[in-house]
Amino acid sequence: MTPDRIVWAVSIALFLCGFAALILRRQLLAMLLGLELMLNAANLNLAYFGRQWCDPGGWASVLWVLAAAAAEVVVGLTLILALSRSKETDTESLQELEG
Amino acid sequence: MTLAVFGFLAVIFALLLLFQRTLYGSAMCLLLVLLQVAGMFFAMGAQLLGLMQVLIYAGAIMVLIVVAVMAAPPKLHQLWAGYEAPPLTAALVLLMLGAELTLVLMGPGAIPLPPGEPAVAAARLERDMAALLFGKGALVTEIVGLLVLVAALAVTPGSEKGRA
Repeated sequence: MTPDRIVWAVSIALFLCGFAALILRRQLLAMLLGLELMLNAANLNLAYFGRQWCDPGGWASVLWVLAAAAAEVVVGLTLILALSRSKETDTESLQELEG
Repeated sequence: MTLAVFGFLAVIFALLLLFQRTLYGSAMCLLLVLLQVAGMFFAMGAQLLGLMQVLIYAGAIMVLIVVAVMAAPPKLHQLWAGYEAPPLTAALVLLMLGAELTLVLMGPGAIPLPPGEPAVAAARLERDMAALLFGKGALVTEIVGLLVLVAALAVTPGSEKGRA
């Protein structure tokens, strides 16, 4: 199995697991963890093909994605914690918007 | 071979993440996936990315998730608690991580480049990346940095209101 195929197989598997966590799990926090999996699957491809084609843009994108993921987790966690104070953090109970 | 080992373990832990009953178990599985991805970066020859992955993802983000939920109200706690990693499992995981660290440090090194690709171009890649980050791509770098700052600032009022 060539390195290309290994990276493809692993990134597809990680992306599908993250997507499944996003769809199947009912807890907001578990969905956030699923999102992180999907981001990492994309990072794998960016890093690998950045090196194979000697293009620094791939590696630079990984660093940008890392920073954006940090910002995303900060805001996501705050929303989840704020929700857990007033309501459930179960997507079943979060049906209506309040204005 | 190193790439395959890390990749296989990453997929195993990603699947385990799906079927964990408690959030704590899911978070620990994600932490292990992140470490395997860092190992893959090292196997690819991207040492800086591997270190950043360990520092930012496995370090900062996972610690933020674990600490934030531990400080969360009781409701979230019940979903979080109830997970005791049996000592044998914990020992095995630590053993595995130790073996992986040895594999990264003493292993066969980065995967070979495709034939005909000048190795010097790959060796220069990290320097070219730095030039791109702070040269042509400086605007994107600044925007992403600003994004992190705005996210941190956006959090503060929200948590204050919650506590009042």
